[in-house]
Amino acid sequence: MTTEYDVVEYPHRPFSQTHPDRLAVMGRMFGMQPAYPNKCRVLEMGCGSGGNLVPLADLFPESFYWGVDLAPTAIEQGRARINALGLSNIRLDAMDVMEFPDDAGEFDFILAHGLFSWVPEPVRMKILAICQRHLAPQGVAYISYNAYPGCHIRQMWRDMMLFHTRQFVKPADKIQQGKGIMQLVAHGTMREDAGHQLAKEDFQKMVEKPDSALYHDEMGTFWQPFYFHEFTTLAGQNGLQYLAESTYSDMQPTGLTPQAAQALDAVSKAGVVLYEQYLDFFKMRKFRQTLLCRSDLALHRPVDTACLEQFHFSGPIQIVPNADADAPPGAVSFQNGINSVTVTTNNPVTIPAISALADAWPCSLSFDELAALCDGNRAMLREVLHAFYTSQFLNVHSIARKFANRVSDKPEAWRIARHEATLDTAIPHFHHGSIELEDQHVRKLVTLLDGTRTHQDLESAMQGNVDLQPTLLKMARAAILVA
Amino acid sequence: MPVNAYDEVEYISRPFRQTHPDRLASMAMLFGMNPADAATARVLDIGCGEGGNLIPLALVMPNATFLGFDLAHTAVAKAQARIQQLGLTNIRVEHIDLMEFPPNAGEFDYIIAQGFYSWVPDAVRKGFLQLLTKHLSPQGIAYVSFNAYPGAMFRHAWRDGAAFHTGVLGCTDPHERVVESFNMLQLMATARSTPDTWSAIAAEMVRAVQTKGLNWVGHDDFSPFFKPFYFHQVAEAASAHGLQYLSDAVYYDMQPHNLTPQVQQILDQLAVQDVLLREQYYDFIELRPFRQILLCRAALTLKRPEHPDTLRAMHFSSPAETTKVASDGSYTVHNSLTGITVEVPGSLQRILEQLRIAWPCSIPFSAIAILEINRAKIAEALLQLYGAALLEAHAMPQSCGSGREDNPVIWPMARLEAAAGQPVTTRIHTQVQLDESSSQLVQRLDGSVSRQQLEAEGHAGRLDWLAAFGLFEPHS
Repeated sequence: MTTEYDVVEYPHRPFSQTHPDRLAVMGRMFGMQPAYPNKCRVLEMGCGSGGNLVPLADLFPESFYWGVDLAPTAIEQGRARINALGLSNIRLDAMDVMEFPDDAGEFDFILAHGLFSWVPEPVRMKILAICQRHLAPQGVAYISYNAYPGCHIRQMWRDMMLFHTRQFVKPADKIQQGKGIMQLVAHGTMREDAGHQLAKEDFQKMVEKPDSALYHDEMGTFWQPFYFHEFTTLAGQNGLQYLAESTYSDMQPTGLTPQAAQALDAVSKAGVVLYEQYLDFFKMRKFRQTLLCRSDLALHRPVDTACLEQFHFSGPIQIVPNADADAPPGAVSFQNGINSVTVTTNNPVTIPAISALADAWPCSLSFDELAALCDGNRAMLREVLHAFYTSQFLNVHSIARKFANRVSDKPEAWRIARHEATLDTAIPHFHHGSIELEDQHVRKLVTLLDGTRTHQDLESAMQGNVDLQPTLLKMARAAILVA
Repeated sequence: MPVNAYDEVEYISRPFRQTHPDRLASMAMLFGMNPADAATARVLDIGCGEGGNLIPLALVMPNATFLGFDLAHTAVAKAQARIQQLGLTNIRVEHIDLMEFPPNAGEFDYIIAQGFYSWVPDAVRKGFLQLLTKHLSPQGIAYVSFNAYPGAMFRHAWRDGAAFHTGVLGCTDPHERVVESFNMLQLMATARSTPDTWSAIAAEMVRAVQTKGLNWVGHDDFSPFFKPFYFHQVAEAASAHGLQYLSDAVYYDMQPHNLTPQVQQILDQLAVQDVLLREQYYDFIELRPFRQILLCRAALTLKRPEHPDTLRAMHFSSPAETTKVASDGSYTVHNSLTGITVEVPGSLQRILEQLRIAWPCSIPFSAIAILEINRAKIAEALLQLYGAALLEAHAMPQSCGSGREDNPVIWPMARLEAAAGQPVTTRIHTQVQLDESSSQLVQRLDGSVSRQQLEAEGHAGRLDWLAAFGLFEPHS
């Protein structure tokens, strides 16, 4: 059978928020004992061409990955990659999840990204039933979905796009016309009310997204947002409970006014679901990436920062000129190069720790390694690291990440990156994201980094089309070089 | 007695000028219909509440007959009491469930459903359309207002937030529920410490509630039924019941405002191709949250686009005043009734000046700019001014007293309302909130006090002020 996803293919990408390591960390923060990502069984429903699973399979050869998707074209493309890479710990199958076999066994992590809101109701129920039946006792399930109240606005655009494109048949026409109606509303009037201001912002965001995202995420046949409390009710009916959001900062009342924080504080006593629901109203949330676990587990809330002592930490951190004019003497500013979160501190305990993380990137350092740099002031370090995770200044891992943070004499790029560089502009990196390499010469360079060539060999092969040393340094920072 | 939601938190029952049968008739004439003379017509108001809209119409048009009904007992009882006080015999207000509307009620020339369509269950909405099919006269006109998408989509967010919040609190008292709903909206508007565009949208809603009052929240955004529609959905439902879109109730709403030239061109092309498409796309572009439209029978052939010559059979009124004269000969005029302020050329300003002098009475086409030979040009100018909300076109003359009569008479409706301490309704179907001393004066002016006496008391200026609202009975 042919699906909409065979006609307009979805990009082949890793999603860092679905990394089993991320799920393992969140489970452990709330008192679970989930499997470690280097020795686990992972199921992904709606896996596409395996953009999310293939890199993990290569990274963790002792783990097993199974991806299923309704679109045979995507599965064929994924299998071609698996064959080319010779991976034996991953399997992709074209399958309707309604037919998912009962005897498939248990999985430590079950992923469903961009699936739940975009399938008919019976399939949604089946997804939850599969989680109930196949999730290991300490397993974590990741399900993303469109959320109200923010999705009322997306609904508005969707309605207008579907009305406007109803007489078009070809996907390319629907995509073009869908953008067209948004542009008409955003820029057709000279009125400058708040609604039209929002229209301008939404149109700009839509233009920056890939066409396939517009076609599937906004104009797909099935499109059902949920209020968070509705979603957790459905989960509860399937023996599952809310664990956390896959991005820790999404659970925090950051960026809210004191009145809103006070209102949240009042409802938090009545339970996490109520708290999270109010958070969605206050943040106008339109998308959620929710983690579920079995209902019979007793979770620890709030988080005890002592749990951080078991983890490893990393961040693409750089020292930047002091941004804060009122900063105390001796203060240093550090910035996360990916999300621009900046920390300015003169704390003699934290500066050495952050400096070490900046130097180590893309590798991680363990809590003990950091504590050694902080005169053993473990209590303060716990609080500081917790605050940094809360603000997305750094990443937390359940197992150490060891990649190259220096360029060797014969640099070697991750073979997944080398393979993708022959197919696409998005190159996966070790932290389960991807970097866009628009320059074909740079992509060619990636394919040559197989650990056999010296810098001189590379210079002559590239014939001056690439500024070699800075480009290699960037690749080390981008976490695509093997240690 | 079953308690209706509207019994608990009273809905503001007041005149809606845009539902006046005269207004409906003038729009119908503009698009080529031959509507019934409003002065002798049969008028039906569906969901009439306390009759705030219907009773003044019955008083101002004694030869027309009016029927209003509502599901709320308290509202109907109040309406009946007011009708009795005024001694009106041409109006009945009854407690009727629309689903049990008597099939032998006959035909109506004007059917008004203000604040009804989006606020009732599906079955009642269908029953309403069936009622129109059955009871609208061949040249009849129905007024239908509804919450419209896409604009109403923004309101879902806070409506849902309010419902969730009051559910968590376990609010059972309706007033408490309304207050807590508003609290939630304010929280949602101010929650983010760096205000974003959504904060601005929510803040606009907060201001709207503050302007309109909490009762509005109770019955619009917080009513158990809140079902906005896209224009095309209502047009399709109408079509399925043998009805068609005639026009908007407010001519100004149909005009392109603030559009880029390219988009205006697109809409103009659509208007030629399919007027319903034009209307739908205009709603998209405007992000319109609310609509007031007129429906008529599908069998009628309407004339589109409207032709200025249809105005030759009409009357015109305007209180618009010139506030500034520019050196290039253009005039800034302000219409206090519609809140519009714009610049117009001298030729249009002269027409407005003529209307202002006659205000609050209307003058017929034949009397406008009498020295201007080119009547076609006058008609075009009037249509332009109508579209700009600078004047009103009437199918029947609008007449009021000037307060300079020997014994000035404030019309009984306003005297009763003033005595009850309520905002007063005018003869031109608007509402005024009077200060205490004006209210006292209004109550005295039943024809027993002479103009001379009033002038001696120093009320001359106040009488002119009251006259401009259209509160005096015409000289008999």
